[in-house]
Amino acid sequence: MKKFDLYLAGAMLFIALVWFLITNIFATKGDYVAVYENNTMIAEYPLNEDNILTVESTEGPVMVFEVKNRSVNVLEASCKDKLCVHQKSISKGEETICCLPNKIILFIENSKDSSTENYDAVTR
Amino acid sequence: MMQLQGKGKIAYIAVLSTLALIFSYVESLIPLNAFVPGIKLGLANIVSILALYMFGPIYAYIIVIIRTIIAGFLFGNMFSIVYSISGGLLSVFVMVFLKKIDKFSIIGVSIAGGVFHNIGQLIVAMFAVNQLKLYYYGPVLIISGIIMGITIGMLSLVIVKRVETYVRL
Repeated sequence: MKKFDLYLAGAMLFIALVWFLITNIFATKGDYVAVYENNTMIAEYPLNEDNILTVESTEGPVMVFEVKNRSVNVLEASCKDKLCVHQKSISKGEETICCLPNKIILFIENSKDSSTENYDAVTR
Repeated sequence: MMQLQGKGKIAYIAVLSTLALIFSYVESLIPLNAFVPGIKLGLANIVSILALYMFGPIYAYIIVIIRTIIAGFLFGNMFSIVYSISGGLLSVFVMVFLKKIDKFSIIGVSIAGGVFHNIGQLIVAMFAVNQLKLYYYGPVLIISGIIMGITIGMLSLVIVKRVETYVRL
């Protein structure tokens, strides 16, 4: 191992640290969780109501997630890899859980966008 | 570094691609995803580094392309092909560059390879879901890339040293 290797690893660690700090400093307390499918919002729920919800995409139910203590955690997903199920819960503004196979993104939002209040794509 | 020609070239590309493919399979059996979503061991990167150090950059590129396409068809889907091919190519590109600078050992090259493999995948994932909100994964992916890079680099160091004396044409 040369010393330049250590510099490289150190530089990478530093970038990761700065990146982490920046995303956390600018993090805000979230109020709503929005569900996106293919980049369009299909549903939105307040974080202050504990609930267990199902995401229904065009191909049927694909994901079950839980809202509890102002944080969102995925309980079940229809895809094979289950990355979103293993991921830890999200609660802060702009945090995301995304399921790439189903093209579903759960996204914490700060305030409610009044134009997107349509619950019809989602069953409780 | 060896100068290969004709059949020898093709044979080595085939053998190394097969090896990389086996590593991809072994990797898919180890569920590291349980800790952090999206991270992998990067065992197949050993082969890229081996090819880069023993035969040259072009071999590393060819083997990465062959490996990711076949592994995608066997163990993944079209999505995973796009992710791993972009991650793989970016990682080889950076490794070739760092090796050319000649300031880094095989471990440093491997660290850069690991980190940029993850960065490449993150970039494609951002385009795929068309939202830049995935930047949250950045630090995790960089740190896991460093750890995997060091591990893979040390392994490659040992392997290259041993194999170099046997591979003759």
